[in-house]
Amino acid sequence: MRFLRWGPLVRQVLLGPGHPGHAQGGGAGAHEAYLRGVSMRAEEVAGKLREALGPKALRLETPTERRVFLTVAVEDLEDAVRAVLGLSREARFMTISAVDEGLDLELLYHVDVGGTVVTVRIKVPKEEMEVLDISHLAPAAEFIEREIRDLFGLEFVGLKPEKLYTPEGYEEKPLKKPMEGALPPQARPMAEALMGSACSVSVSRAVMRKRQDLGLPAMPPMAMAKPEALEEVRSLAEEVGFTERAGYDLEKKRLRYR
Amino acid sequence: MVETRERVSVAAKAGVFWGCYIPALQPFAEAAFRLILDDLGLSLSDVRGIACCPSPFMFKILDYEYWLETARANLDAIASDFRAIVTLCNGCWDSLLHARDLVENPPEVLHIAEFLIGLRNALLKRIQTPLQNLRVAVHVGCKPRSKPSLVDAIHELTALTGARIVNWRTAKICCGYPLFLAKPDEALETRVRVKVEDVQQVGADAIVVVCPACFMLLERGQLVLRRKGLRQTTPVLHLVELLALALGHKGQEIGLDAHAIKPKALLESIG
Repeated sequence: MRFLRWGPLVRQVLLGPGHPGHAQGGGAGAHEAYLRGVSMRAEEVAGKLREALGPKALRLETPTERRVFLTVAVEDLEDAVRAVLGLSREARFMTISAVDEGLDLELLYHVDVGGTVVTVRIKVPKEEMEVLDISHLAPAAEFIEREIRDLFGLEFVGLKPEKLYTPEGYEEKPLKKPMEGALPPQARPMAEALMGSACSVSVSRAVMRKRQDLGLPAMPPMAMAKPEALEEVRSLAEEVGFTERAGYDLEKKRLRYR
Repeated sequence: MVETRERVSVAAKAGVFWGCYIPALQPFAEAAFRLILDDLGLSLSDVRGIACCPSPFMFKILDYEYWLETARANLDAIASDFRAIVTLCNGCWDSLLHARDLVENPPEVLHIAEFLIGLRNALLKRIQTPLQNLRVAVHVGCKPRSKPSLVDAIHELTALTGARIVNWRTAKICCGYPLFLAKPDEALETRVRVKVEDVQQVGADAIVVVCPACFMLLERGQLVLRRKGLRQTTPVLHLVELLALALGHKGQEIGLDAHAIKPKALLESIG
Protein backbone atom coordinates (compact mmCIF):
# COMPACT_ATOMS: atom_id res chain seq x y z
CA MET A 1 0.00 0.00 0.00
CA ARG A 2 1.61 3.15 -1.25
CA PHE A 3 0.14 5.43 1.43
CA LEU A 4 2.01 3.49 4.14
CA ARG A 5 5.22 4.99 2.85
CA TRP A 6 3.80 8.44 3.44
CA GLY A 7 4.58 10.46 6.53
CA PRO A 8 3.18 9.61 9.95
CA LEU A 9 0.73 12.52 9.85
CA VAL A 10 -0.87 11.29 6.63
CA ARG A 11 -1.07 7.74 7.99
CA GLN A 12 -2.68 9.06 11.12
CA VAL A 13 -5.36 10.84 9.12
CA LEU A 14 -6.02 7.93 6.76
CA LEU A 15 -5.86 5.02 9.15
CA GLY A 16 -7.03 6.58 12.37
CA PRO A 17 -5.80 5.93 15.90
CA GLY A 18 -5.55 2.36 17.04
CA HIS A 19 -4.78 1.04 13.57
CA PRO A 20 -1.54 -0.99 13.56
CA GLY A 21 -0.27 0.95 10.56
CA HIS A 22 -0.88 4.19 12.43
CA ALA A 23 1.87 6.57 13.55
CA GLN A 24 5.51 5.68 13.53
CA GLY A 25 7.03 2.35 12.90
CA GLY A 26 4.10 0.67 11.07
CA GLY A 27 5.47 -0.08 7.62
CA ALA A 28 4.16 -2.33 4.88
CA GLY A 29 4.91 -5.53 6.74
CA ALA A 30 2.92 -4.47 9.76
CA HIS A 31 -0.01 -3.46 7.56
CA GLU A 32 -0.06 -6.81 5.78
CA ALA A 33 0.07 -8.58 9.12
CA TYR A 34 -2.85 -6.44 10.18
CA LEU A 35 -4.77 -7.32 7.01
CA ARG A 36 -4.18 -11.01 7.62
CA GLY A 37 -5.73 -10.56 11.04
CA VAL A 38 -8.90 -8.74 9.99
CA SER A 39 -9.39 -9.58 6.34
CA MET A 40 -11.96 -11.91 4.87
CA ARG A 41 -11.67 -13.48 1.46
CA ALA A 42 -14.45 -12.98 -1.05
CA GLU A 43 -15.92 -16.45 -0.60
CA GLU A 44 -16.15 -16.02 3.14
CA VAL A 45 -17.77 -12.60 2.74
CA ALA A 46 -20.25 -14.00 0.23
CA GLY A 47 -21.11 -16.87 2.58
CA LYS A 48 -21.80 -14.51 5.46
CA LEU A 49 -23.92 -12.21 3.30
CA ARG A 50 -25.89 -15.14 1.96
CA GLU A 51 -26.56 -16.23 5.51
CA ALA A 52 -27.50 -12.75 6.69
CA LEU A 53 -29.73 -11.77 3.78
CA GLY A 54 -31.20 -15.07 2.64
CA PRO A 55 -33.41 -14.61 -0.44
CA LYS A 56 -32.86 -10.86 -0.38
CA ALA A 57 -29.43 -11.55 -1.88
CA LEU A 58 -30.61 -11.85 -5.46
CA ARG A 59 -27.14 -12.50 -6.78
CA LEU A 60 -23.72 -12.92 -5.22
CA GLU A 61 -20.60 -12.93 -7.38
CA THR A 62 -16.95 -13.28 -6.42
CA PRO A 63 -14.95 -12.61 -9.58
CA THR A 64 -11.66 -12.44 -7.63
CA GLU A 65 -10.67 -13.35 -4.09
CA ARG A 66 -10.88 -9.72 -3.01
CA ARG A 67 -14.08 -8.68 -4.80
CA VAL A 68 -17.71 -9.35 -4.05
CA PHE A 69 -20.77 -8.11 -5.92
CA LEU A 70 -24.12 -8.34 -4.14
CA THR A 71 -27.28 -7.56 -6.09
CA VAL A 72 -30.44 -6.72 -4.16
CA ALA A 73 -33.82 -5.14 -4.86
CA VAL A 74 -34.16 -1.40 -4.23
CA GLU A 75 -36.33 -1.99 -1.18
CA ASP A 76 -33.66 -4.22 0.41
CA LEU A 77 -30.85 -1.68 0.08
CA GLU A 78 -30.81 -0.69 3.74
CA ASP A 79 -30.68 -4.30 4.95
CA ALA A 80 -27.90 -5.08 2.47
CA VAL A 81 -25.74 -2.10 3.45
CA ARG A 82 -26.31 -2.85 7.11
CA ALA A 83 -25.26 -6.46 6.55
CA VAL A 84 -22.10 -5.46 4.69
CA LEU A 85 -21.08 -2.86 7.27
CA GLY A 86 -21.76 -5.40 9.97
CA LEU A 87 -19.30 -7.90 8.51
CA SER A 88 -16.37 -6.37 10.34
CA ARG A 89 -15.56 -3.62 12.80
CA GLU A 90 -13.14 -2.38 10.12
CA ALA A 91 -15.74 -2.16 7.32
CA ARG A 92 -15.40 1.22 5.63
CA PHE A 93 -17.86 2.84 3.26
CA MET A 94 -15.92 4.00 0.19
CA THR A 95 -18.22 5.61 -2.34
CA ILE A 96 -21.23 5.16 -4.64
CA SER A 97 -20.98 4.88 -8.42
CA ALA A 98 -24.00 5.81 -10.52
CA VAL A 99 -24.45 4.47 -14.05
CA ASP A 100 -27.25 5.65 -16.31
CA GLU A 101 -28.23 2.58 -18.34
CA GLY A 102 -30.99 4.30 -20.26
CA LEU A 103 -34.02 2.74 -18.59
CA ASP A 104 -32.56 2.28 -15.11
CA LEU A 105 -30.04 4.02 -12.95
CA GLU A 106 -27.63 1.51 -11.48
CA LEU A 107 -26.14 2.39 -8.11
CA LEU A 108 -23.07 0.59 -6.80
CA TYR A 109 -22.27 1.04 -3.11
CA HIS A 110 -18.64 0.13 -2.48
CA VAL A 111 -17.50 -0.94 0.97
CA ASP A 112 -14.01 -2.04 1.97
CA VAL A 113 -14.12 -4.97 4.35
CA GLY A 114 -10.54 -5.51 5.46
CA GLY A 115 -9.08 -5.44 1.98
CA THR A 116 -12.01 -7.08 0.19
CA VAL A 117 -14.23 -4.67 -1.68
CA VAL A 118 -17.92 -5.48 -1.47
CA THR A 119 -20.21 -3.74 -3.93
CA VAL A 120 -23.94 -3.63 -3.32
CA ARG A 121 -25.76 -3.27 -6.59
CA ILE A 122 -29.28 -1.95 -7.12
CA LYS A 123 -31.18 -0.77 -10.16
CA VAL A 124 -33.56 2.11 -9.78
CA PRO A 125 -36.14 2.26 -12.57
CA LYS A 126 -36.22 5.71 -14.10
CA GLU A 127 -39.99 5.78 -13.72
CA GLU A 128 -39.39 5.99 -9.95
CA MET A 129 -36.06 7.77 -9.50
CA GLU A 130 -36.15 7.44 -5.73
CA VAL A 131 -34.03 5.49 -3.27
CA LEU A 132 -33.37 5.51 0.45
CA ASP A 133 -30.58 7.71 1.77
CA ILE A 134 -28.06 5.56 3.66
CA SER A 135 -26.14 8.35 5.37
CA HIS A 136 -27.62 7.30 8.73
CA LEU A 137 -25.63 4.05 8.28
CA ALA A 138 -22.57 5.52 6.56
CA PRO A 139 -22.29 9.29 7.13
CA ALA A 140 -19.77 9.69 4.31
CA ALA A 141 -22.48 8.64 1.83
CA GLU A 142 -24.21 11.99 2.20
CA PHE A 143 -21.59 13.75 0.13
CA ILE A 144 -21.79 11.41 -2.88
CA GLU A 145 -25.58 11.09 -2.65
CA ARG A 146 -25.91 14.86 -3.03
CA GLU A 147 -23.54 14.74 -5.98
CA ILE A 148 -25.62 11.99 -7.66
CA ARG A 149 -28.83 13.91 -7.00
CA ASP A 150 -27.37 17.05 -8.60
CA LEU A 151 -26.00 15.27 -11.66
CA PHE A 152 -28.59 12.51 -12.32
CA GLY A 153 -31.74 13.79 -10.62
CA LEU A 154 -32.14 10.76 -8.35
CA GLU A 155 -33.94 11.54 -5.06
CA PHE A 156 -32.48 10.04 -1.87
CA VAL A 157 -35.31 9.85 0.64
CA GLY A 158 -34.17 11.44 3.92
CA LEU A 159 -31.20 13.29 2.46
CA LYS A 160 -30.75 16.96 3.37
CA PRO A 161 -31.99 19.19 0.57
CA GLU A 162 -28.92 21.37 -0.04
CA LYS A 163 -27.26 20.99 -3.42
CA LEU A 164 -23.59 20.11 -3.64
CA TYR A 165 -22.37 20.92 -7.14
CA THR A 166 -24.94 22.68 -9.22
CA PRO A 167 -26.09 26.21 -8.37
CA GLU A 168 -29.49 27.01 -6.90
CA GLY A 169 -32.03 27.49 -9.68
CA TYR A 170 -30.17 25.21 -12.07
CA GLU A 171 -32.52 22.29 -12.57
CA GLU A 172 -30.88 20.39 -15.43
CA LYS A 173 -29.35 17.00 -14.68
CA PRO A 174 -26.21 16.99 -16.80
CA LEU A 175 -25.40 13.26 -16.55
CA LYS A 176 -28.94 11.94 -16.95
CA LYS A 177 -29.52 10.30 -20.32
CA PRO A 178 -32.88 10.20 -22.11
CA MET A 179 -35.15 7.29 -21.15
CA GLU A 180 -34.23 4.97 -24.03
CA GLY A 181 -34.02 1.20 -24.31
CA ALA A 182 -32.19 -1.08 -26.72
CA LEU A 183 -34.77 -1.02 -29.50
CA PRO A 184 -34.66 1.67 -32.18
CA PRO A 185 -37.95 3.55 -32.78
CA GLN A 186 -38.96 1.61 -35.91
CA ALA A 187 -38.52 -1.72 -34.11
CA ARG A 188 -40.63 -0.83 -31.07
CA PRO A 189 -44.12 -1.38 -32.51
CA MET A 190 -42.99 -4.78 -33.84
CA ALA A 191 -41.62 -5.86 -30.46
CA GLU A 192 -44.81 -4.74 -28.70
CA ALA A 193 -46.95 -6.54 -31.27
CA LEU A 194 -44.91 -9.73 -30.87
CA MET A 195 -45.23 -9.69 -27.10
CA GLY A 196 -48.88 -8.64 -27.24
CA SER A 197 -50.19 -10.94 -29.95
CA ALA A 198 -47.36 -13.39 -30.79
CA CYS A 199 -46.99 -11.76 -34.21
CA SER A 200 -44.83 -8.84 -35.28
CA VAL A 201 -47.66 -7.14 -37.14
CA SER A 202 -51.40 -6.94 -36.63
CA VAL A 203 -54.15 -7.30 -39.20
CA SER A 204 -56.02 -4.09 -40.05
CA ARG A 205 -59.71 -3.99 -40.95
CA ALA A 206 -58.78 -2.90 -44.46
CA VAL A 207 -56.62 -6.00 -44.90
CA MET A 208 -59.38 -8.19 -43.48
CA ARG A 209 -61.77 -6.79 -46.11
CA LYS A 210 -59.19 -7.31 -48.83
CA ARG A 211 -58.63 -10.86 -47.69
CA GLN A 212 -62.35 -11.56 -47.94
CA ASP A 213 -62.43 -9.99 -51.43
CA LEU A 214 -59.72 -12.46 -52.42
CA GLY A 215 -61.68 -15.37 -51.04
CA LEU A 216 -59.43 -15.76 -48.02
CA PRO A 217 -60.65 -15.96 -44.41
CA ALA A 218 -60.74 -12.50 -42.82
CA MET A 219 -58.47 -13.63 -39.98
CA PRO A 220 -55.31 -15.11 -41.44
CA PRO A 221 -53.68 -18.37 -40.38
CA MET A 222 -51.32 -16.80 -37.89
CA ALA A 223 -50.28 -17.80 -34.38
CA MET A 224 -52.05 -14.92 -32.69
CA ALA A 225 -55.32 -16.73 -32.02
CA LYS A 226 -54.00 -19.02 -29.29
CA PRO A 227 -53.80 -17.59 -25.73
CA GLU A 228 -51.64 -20.46 -24.46
CA ALA A 229 -49.14 -19.78 -27.24
CA LEU A 230 -48.98 -16.15 -26.23
CA GLU A 231 -48.25 -17.16 -22.68
CA GLU A 232 -45.38 -19.32 -23.91
CA VAL A 233 -43.97 -16.47 -26.01
CA ARG A 234 -43.95 -14.16 -23.02
CA SER A 235 -42.44 -16.60 -20.56
CA LEU A 236 -39.77 -17.48 -23.12
CA ALA A 237 -38.95 -13.81 -23.54
CA GLU A 238 -38.60 -13.44 -19.80
CA GLU A 239 -36.56 -16.61 -19.43
CA VAL A 240 -33.90 -15.63 -21.95
CA GLY A 241 -33.76 -12.06 -20.64
CA PHE A 242 -35.31 -10.39 -23.66
CA THR A 243 -37.92 -8.48 -21.66
CA GLU A 244 -35.21 -6.97 -19.49
CA ARG A 245 -32.80 -6.22 -22.33
CA ALA A 246 -35.50 -4.71 -24.51
CA GLY A 247 -37.21 -2.93 -21.60
CA TYR A 248 -40.61 -4.62 -21.95
CA ASP A 249 -42.96 -4.37 -18.99
CA LEU A 250 -44.81 -7.69 -18.77
CA GLU A 251 -47.44 -6.36 -16.37
CA LYS A 252 -48.28 -3.26 -18.35
CA LYS A 253 -47.78 -5.18 -21.61
CA ARG A 254 -45.79 -2.45 -23.28
CA LEU A 255 -42.27 -1.15 -23.64
CA ARG A 256 -41.12 1.17 -20.90
CA TYR A 257 -40.23 3.83 -23.49
CA ARG A 258 -41.75 5.30 -26.65
CA MET B 1 -52.78 -33.45 -61.59
CA VAL B 2 -49.13 -33.26 -60.67
CA GLU B 3 -46.85 -36.08 -61.82
CA THR B 4 -46.57 -38.96 -59.36
CA ARG B 5 -42.90 -38.44 -58.55
CA GLU B 6 -43.49 -34.82 -57.71
CA ARG B 7 -46.54 -35.66 -55.67
CA VAL B 8 -44.39 -37.92 -53.52
CA SER B 9 -41.94 -35.11 -52.87
CA VAL B 10 -44.70 -33.02 -51.36
CA ALA B 11 -46.28 -35.91 -49.52
CA ALA B 12 -48.80 -35.56 -46.75
CA LYS B 13 -47.75 -33.70 -43.63
CA ALA B 14 -46.41 -30.75 -45.59
CA GLY B 15 -47.68 -27.36 -44.57
CA VAL B 16 -47.26 -23.65 -45.23
CA PHE B 17 -45.87 -21.39 -42.54
CA TRP B 18 -47.34 -18.07 -43.66
CA GLY B 19 -45.53 -15.87 -41.16
CA CYS B 20 -46.92 -12.40 -40.38
CA TYR B 21 -46.12 -9.96 -43.14
CA ILE B 22 -47.77 -11.86 -45.97
CA PRO B 23 -51.16 -12.66 -44.43
CA ALA B 24 -51.35 -9.39 -42.48
CA LEU B 25 -49.91 -6.94 -44.99
CA GLN B 26 -49.62 -8.60 -48.40
CA PRO B 27 -52.57 -11.01 -48.75
CA PHE B 28 -52.15 -10.88 -52.54
CA ALA B 29 -49.09 -13.11 -52.19
CA GLU B 30 -51.05 -15.59 -50.08
CA ALA B 31 -53.89 -15.54 -52.64
CA ALA B 32 -51.44 -16.09 -55.51
CA PHE B 33 -49.78 -19.06 -53.83
CA ARG B 34 -53.12 -20.66 -52.97
CA LEU B 35 -54.16 -20.29 -56.62
CA ILE B 36 -50.92 -21.98 -57.72
CA LEU B 37 -51.53 -24.83 -55.29
CA ASP B 38 -55.07 -25.23 -56.62
CA ASP B 39 -53.80 -25.27 -60.19
CA LEU B 40 -51.34 -28.00 -59.26
CA GLY B 41 -54.01 -29.96 -57.41
CA LEU B 42 -52.11 -29.70 -54.16
CA SER B 43 -53.44 -29.09 -50.72
CA LEU B 44 -51.09 -27.99 -47.96
CA SER B 45 -52.16 -27.38 -44.38
CA ASP B 46 -51.72 -24.07 -42.64
CA VAL B 47 -48.95 -24.27 -40.06
CA ARG B 48 -49.53 -22.30 -36.87
CA GLY B 49 -46.52 -21.97 -34.62
CA ILE B 50 -46.58 -20.44 -31.16
CA ALA B 51 -45.54 -17.09 -32.62
CA CYS B 52 -44.31 -15.50 -35.80
CA CYS B 53 -40.91 -16.83 -36.82
CA PRO B 54 -39.78 -14.20 -35.24
CA SER B 55 -38.47 -11.70 -37.73
CA PRO B 56 -34.70 -12.10 -38.15
CA PHE B 57 -34.55 -8.67 -39.76
CA MET B 58 -35.15 -7.28 -36.35
CA PHE B 59 -34.71 -9.86 -33.59
CA LYS B 60 -31.70 -11.71 -35.01
CA ILE B 61 -29.87 -8.41 -35.07
CA LEU B 62 -31.11 -6.93 -31.82
CA ASP B 63 -31.37 -10.01 -29.61
CA TYR B 64 -29.91 -13.15 -31.15
CA GLU B 65 -30.59 -15.39 -28.16
CA TYR B 66 -34.26 -14.49 -27.99
CA TRP B 67 -34.67 -14.81 -31.76
CA LEU B 68 -33.18 -18.31 -31.86
CA GLU B 69 -34.95 -19.54 -28.76
CA THR B 70 -38.35 -18.40 -30.04
CA ALA B 71 -37.67 -19.92 -33.46
CA ARG B 72 -36.72 -23.17 -31.73
CA ALA B 73 -39.90 -23.19 -29.63
CA ASN B 74 -41.88 -22.44 -32.76
CA LEU B 75 -40.42 -25.31 -34.74
CA ASP B 76 -40.59 -27.62 -31.75
CA ALA B 77 -44.33 -26.95 -31.43
CA ILE B 78 -45.00 -28.03 -35.02
CA ALA B 79 -42.29 -30.65 -35.53
CA SER B 80 -44.48 -33.61 -34.71
CA ASP B 81 -47.27 -32.59 -37.10
CA PHE B 82 -45.27 -31.88 -40.25
CA ARG B 83 -42.53 -33.46 -42.26
CA ALA B 84 -41.97 -30.40 -44.42
CA ILE B 85 -42.73 -26.74 -44.00
CA VAL B 86 -42.86 -24.26 -46.85
CA THR B 87 -42.23 -20.57 -46.22
CA LEU B 88 -42.98 -17.62 -48.51
CA CYS B 89 -40.61 -15.34 -46.68
CA ASN B 90 -36.83 -15.16 -46.57
CA GLY B 91 -37.09 -14.25 -42.90
CA CYS B 92 -39.26 -17.20 -41.84
CA TRP B 93 -37.02 -19.49 -43.87
CA ASP B 94 -33.92 -18.16 -42.13
CA SER B 95 -35.41 -18.38 -38.62
CA LEU B 96 -36.84 -21.88 -38.93
CA LEU B 97 -33.79 -23.20 -40.74
CA HIS B 98 -31.50 -22.02 -37.93
CA ALA B 99 -33.83 -23.60 -35.38
CA ARG B 100 -33.64 -27.02 -37.06
CA ASP B 101 -30.32 -27.79 -35.36
CA LEU B 102 -31.97 -27.35 -31.97
CA VAL B 103 -35.03 -29.56 -32.49
CA GLU B 104 -35.32 -33.31 -32.38
CA ASN B 105 -36.59 -34.80 -35.68
CA PRO B 106 -37.18 -31.41 -37.25
CA PRO B 107 -39.28 -31.06 -40.39
CA GLU B 108 -37.67 -29.97 -43.64
CA VAL B 109 -37.80 -26.21 -44.00
CA LEU B 110 -38.31 -25.25 -47.62
CA HIS B 111 -38.11 -21.83 -49.17
CA ILE B 112 -41.00 -21.25 -51.56
CA ALA B 113 -38.58 -21.41 -54.50
CA GLU B 114 -37.13 -24.73 -53.29
CA PHE B 115 -40.64 -26.11 -53.07
CA LEU B 116 -41.81 -24.84 -56.45
CA ILE B 117 -38.67 -25.75 -58.37
CA GLY B 118 -39.43 -29.37 -57.49
CA LEU B 119 -42.69 -28.87 -59.40
CA ARG B 120 -41.17 -27.10 -62.41
CA ASN B 121 -42.46 -29.56 -64.98
CA ALA B 122 -45.98 -29.40 -63.64
CA LEU B 123 -45.82 -25.63 -63.63
CA LEU B 124 -44.38 -25.46 -67.12
CA LYS B 125 -47.23 -27.56 -68.49
CA ARG B 126 -49.77 -25.19 -66.99
CA ILE B 127 -48.34 -21.91 -68.27
CA GLN B 128 -51.20 -20.25 -70.11
CA THR B 129 -49.97 -16.68 -70.42
CA PRO B 130 -46.25 -16.59 -71.10
CA LEU B 131 -44.95 -13.22 -69.96
CA GLN B 132 -42.47 -12.74 -72.79
CA ASN B 133 -43.27 -9.01 -73.09
CA LEU B 134 -42.14 -8.48 -69.55
CA ARG B 135 -38.64 -7.45 -68.46
CA VAL B 136 -38.06 -8.09 -64.78
CA ALA B 137 -35.26 -7.42 -62.30
CA VAL B 138 -34.94 -10.26 -59.80
CA HIS B 139 -34.10 -9.23 -56.27
CA VAL B 140 -33.24 -12.41 -54.38
CA GLY B 141 -32.67 -10.75 -51.00
CA CYS B 142 -29.89 -11.44 -48.53
CA LYS B 143 -30.85 -14.71 -46.88
CA PRO B 144 -30.98 -16.98 -49.95
CA ARG B 145 -27.51 -15.80 -50.97
CA SER B 146 -26.14 -18.37 -48.51
CA LYS B 147 -27.49 -21.13 -50.75
CA PRO B 148 -26.52 -20.85 -54.45
CA SER B 149 -28.99 -23.55 -55.53
CA LEU B 150 -31.81 -21.47 -54.06
CA VAL B 151 -30.67 -18.37 -55.94
CA ASP B 152 -30.65 -20.45 -59.13
CA ALA B 153 -34.13 -21.78 -58.36
CA ILE B 154 -35.52 -18.25 -57.95
CA HIS B 155 -34.09 -17.23 -61.32
CA GLU B 156 -35.24 -20.45 -63.00
CA LEU B 157 -38.80 -20.03 -61.75
CA THR B 158 -38.83 -16.42 -62.94
CA ALA B 159 -37.59 -17.51 -66.37
CA LEU B 160 -40.18 -20.26 -66.45
CA THR B 161 -42.92 -17.61 -66.65
CA GLY B 162 -41.44 -16.43 -69.93
CA ALA B 163 -40.37 -13.06 -68.49
CA ARG B 164 -36.97 -11.76 -69.53
CA ILE B 165 -34.58 -11.32 -66.62
CA VAL B 166 -32.49 -8.17 -66.88
CA ASN B 167 -28.97 -7.81 -65.56
CA TRP B 168 -28.62 -4.98 -63.12
CA ARG B 169 -25.58 -3.72 -61.31
CA THR B 170 -27.05 -3.53 -57.80
CA ALA B 171 -28.93 -6.84 -57.83
CA LYS B 172 -26.93 -8.21 -54.91
CA ILE B 173 -27.29 -5.16 -52.69
CA CYS B 174 -29.63 -5.58 -49.72
CA CYS B 175 -33.07 -3.95 -50.01
CA GLY B 176 -32.22 -2.00 -46.86
CA TYR B 177 -34.98 -3.31 -44.59
CA PRO B 178 -32.82 -4.11 -41.53
CA LEU B 179 -31.07 -0.76 -41.90
CA PHE B 180 -34.47 0.92 -42.21
CA LEU B 181 -35.32 -0.16 -38.65
CA ALA B 182 -32.40 1.87 -37.34
CA LYS B 183 -31.81 4.59 -39.93
CA PRO B 184 -34.82 4.98 -42.25
CA ASP B 185 -33.49 7.88 -44.32
CA GLU B 186 -30.17 6.19 -44.93
CA ALA B 187 -31.89 2.95 -45.97
CA LEU B 188 -34.11 4.77 -48.43
CA GLU B 189 -31.33 6.83 -49.96
CA THR B 190 -28.48 4.34 -50.06
CA ARG B 191 -30.46 1.19 -50.78
CA VAL B 192 -33.95 1.76 -52.22
CA ARG B 193 -33.13 4.78 -54.37
CA VAL B 194 -29.89 3.25 -55.67
CA LYS B 195 -31.56 -0.03 -56.56
CA VAL B 196 -34.74 1.41 -58.08
CA GLU B 197 -32.87 3.92 -60.23
CA ASP B 198 -30.65 1.08 -61.41
CA VAL B 199 -33.68 -1.07 -62.29
CA GLN B 200 -35.22 1.82 -64.21
CA GLN B 201 -31.99 2.49 -66.07
CA VAL B 202 -31.92 -1.05 -67.45
CA GLY B 203 -35.59 -0.76 -68.43
CA ALA B 204 -37.18 -3.37 -66.18
CA ASP B 205 -40.99 -3.36 -65.94
CA ALA B 206 -41.03 -4.80 -62.44
CA ILE B 207 -38.89 -5.94 -59.55
CA VAL B 208 -39.52 -9.56 -58.54
CA VAL B 209 -38.93 -10.53 -54.91
CA VAL B 210 -39.30 -13.60 -52.71
CA CYS B 211 -39.55 -11.82 -49.40
CA PRO B 212 -42.30 -9.62 -47.91
CA ALA B 213 -39.77 -7.38 -46.15
CA CYS B 214 -37.96 -6.69 -49.44
CA PHE B 215 -41.37 -6.14 -51.04
CA MET B 216 -42.44 -3.70 -48.38
CA LEU B 217 -39.34 -1.56 -48.44
CA LEU B 218 -38.82 -1.56 -52.19
CA GLU B 219 -42.47 -0.65 -52.79
CA ARG B 220 -43.29 1.71 -49.92
CA GLY B 221 -39.82 3.19 -50.06
CA GLN B 222 -40.44 4.35 -53.62
CA LEU B 223 -43.56 6.21 -52.53
CA VAL B 224 -41.56 8.10 -49.92
CA LEU B 225 -38.77 8.77 -52.41
CA ARG B 226 -41.31 10.11 -54.94
CA ARG B 227 -41.67 13.09 -52.63
CA LYS B 228 -37.90 13.41 -52.61
CA GLY B 229 -37.19 13.54 -56.30
CA LEU B 230 -37.56 9.95 -57.52
CA ARG B 231 -38.82 10.45 -61.08
CA GLN B 232 -40.88 7.32 -61.55
CA THR B 233 -41.92 4.21 -59.69
CA THR B 234 -41.52 0.57 -60.65
CA PRO B 235 -44.01 -2.07 -59.50
CA VAL B 236 -42.81 -4.81 -57.18
CA LEU B 237 -44.15 -8.36 -57.51
CA HIS B 238 -43.80 -11.49 -55.44
CA LEU B 239 -42.49 -14.41 -57.43
CA VAL B 240 -45.75 -16.26 -56.72
CA GLU B 241 -47.74 -13.39 -58.23
CA LEU B 242 -45.64 -13.55 -61.38
CA LEU B 243 -46.19 -17.31 -61.55
CA ALA B 244 -49.93 -16.95 -60.97
CA LEU B 245 -50.13 -14.43 -63.83
CA ALA B 246 -48.25 -16.85 -66.09
CA LEU B 247 -50.65 -19.60 -65.07
CA GLY B 248 -53.40 -17.47 -66.53
CA HIS B 249 -54.85 -15.73 -63.48
CA LYS B 250 -56.01 -12.14 -63.76
CA GLY B 251 -54.50 -9.32 -61.74
CA GLN B 252 -57.75 -8.72 -59.88
CA GLU B 253 -58.00 -12.38 -58.92
CA ILE B 254 -54.61 -12.19 -57.25
CA GLY B 255 -55.26 -8.81 -55.71
CA LEU B 256 -52.69 -6.77 -57.63
CA ASP B 257 -55.00 -3.77 -57.26
CA ALA B 258 -54.05 -3.73 -53.57
CA HIS B 259 -50.41 -2.98 -54.36
CA ALA B 260 -49.29 0.49 -53.36
CA ILE B 261 -47.68 0.86 -56.81
CA LYS B 262 -50.34 -0.38 -59.21
CA PRO B 263 -48.83 -2.53 -61.96
CA LYS B 264 -51.24 -1.18 -64.60
CA ALA B 265 -48.77 -0.86 -67.45
CA LEU B 266 -47.39 -4.27 -66.64
CA LEU B 267 -50.82 -5.89 -66.83
CA GLU B 268 -51.53 -4.12 -70.10
CA SER B 269 -48.28 -5.43 -71.57
CA ILE B 270 -49.36 -8.96 -70.63
CA GLY B 271 -52.68 -8.37 -72.33
